[in-house]
Amino acid sequence: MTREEVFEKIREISADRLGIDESEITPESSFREDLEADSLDLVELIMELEEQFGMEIPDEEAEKITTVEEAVDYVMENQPA
Amino acid sequence: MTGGNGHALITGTGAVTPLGTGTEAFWDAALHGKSGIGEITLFDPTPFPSHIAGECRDFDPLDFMSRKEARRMDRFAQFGIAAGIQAVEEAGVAEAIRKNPERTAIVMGSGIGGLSTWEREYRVMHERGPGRVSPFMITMMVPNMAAGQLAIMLGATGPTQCPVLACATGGEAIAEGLEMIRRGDADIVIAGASEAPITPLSMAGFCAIRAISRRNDEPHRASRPFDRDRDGFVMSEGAGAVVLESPEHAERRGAEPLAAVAGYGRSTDAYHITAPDEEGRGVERAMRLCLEDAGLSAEQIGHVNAHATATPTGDGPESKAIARVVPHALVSATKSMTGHSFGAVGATEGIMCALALKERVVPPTINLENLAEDCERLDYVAGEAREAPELEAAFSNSMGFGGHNVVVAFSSVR
Repeated sequence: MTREEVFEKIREISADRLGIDESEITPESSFREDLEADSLDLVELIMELEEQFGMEIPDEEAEKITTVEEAVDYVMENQPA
Repeated sequence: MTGGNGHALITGTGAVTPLGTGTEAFWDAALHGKSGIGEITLFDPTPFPSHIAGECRDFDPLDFMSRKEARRMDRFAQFGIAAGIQAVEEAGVAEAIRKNPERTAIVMGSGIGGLSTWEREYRVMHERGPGRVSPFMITMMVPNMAAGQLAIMLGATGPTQCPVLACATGGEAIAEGLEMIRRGDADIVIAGASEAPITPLSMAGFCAIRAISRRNDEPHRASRPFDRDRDGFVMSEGAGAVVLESPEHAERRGAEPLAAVAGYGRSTDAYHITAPDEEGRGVERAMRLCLEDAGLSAEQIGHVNAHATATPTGDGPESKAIARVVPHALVSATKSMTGHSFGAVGATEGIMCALALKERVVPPTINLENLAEDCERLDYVAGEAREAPELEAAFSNSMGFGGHNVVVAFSSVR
């Protein structure tokens, strides 16, 4: 998947899970501050990323993902070949 | 209302039922003797002996909450929140709650809780592993979450409770709400109950008990309390909530109450897990205790909203008890229209009692064509609603699996 496609997918998932409009989500969006996700939302989002991109995200890595862009970076670096 | 232990005023109501969402739609359909029963659409009922239920088909959670909130709640909690929000709006107490959150209590019960969530996540765990179970599973499943979520949405910080008493849950919630007002725990109590039990697992379980109607070809005629040809209850879902206020609080803000909760009586059969005492002694005792608590005489009870689920074992004993305590009362079995929403039903039937007192008309018992031999000859208001111009007070009877009996007395405020 290209970077664009990964971003689109993450934007779609985030919008659905957090009940917000896709247009409000940019790469700079912070999940907690801008998208008003709480700790349970973040757990669910990470699980959804794992599911959609076929990867395991360890808890210590997941904690470092705070913005949409960081999520995109993580997926790009760890995509299964 | 003298001589009892004190009353609370009902200043708002909210309902989600198979007869409609909103008290007005619900009450209007009930007075017209409509049935809310139909073929199940929430899951494929083909493998089950019973294919019918009372589903809340016009319910849209997004009328009451955001998409994000709705996604984090089981259907039962969505129902409870919807009923609670309607009741608060009707009573016009949102501002009073905001000003004095610590004096607002919530009693929102459920017999089962988030069963559909439990079923879905259990399947996820087995099919995809424990790591895939939703972080919202626990908070969606536990039965106190309608109360918890409603408190969050309203900002109510007084005490919360969640009675769990099978089919007597809703009655218990209103009784406990009254007691909170009496004790001075709160000035405003939002009391009610919700249930969303129409799931494959619960259908399988209730079919196994042989307690459910199998009249699949005639859904509207399936729920037949007190009728010779009754063959079990029809499962349904929904929620009811009332705003209860202390008389002083209601008066201070110039509220117009619909009716009063005058008292309650409770007892336990200590007899059998599903069947009531054959002579109805438990529910009889609850009715007598209720009269005492409410300071009412039996003659003043002009109407009973009976528990009457239409099971072969349940209706007869209750009719005997009513015949011994209030033989003159107009007896309505409204589960003939709504089906049986377990924990929630005592709350929605309590609302019907309050509205009957306000409007002096009692809803009908539909599908009662031939009185069953095991049921006493009472005035069952068969077929059509009845004007009751002299109506002063009413009982709402609830009897739950486990042998729990709760009777709540409502009285007119005119």
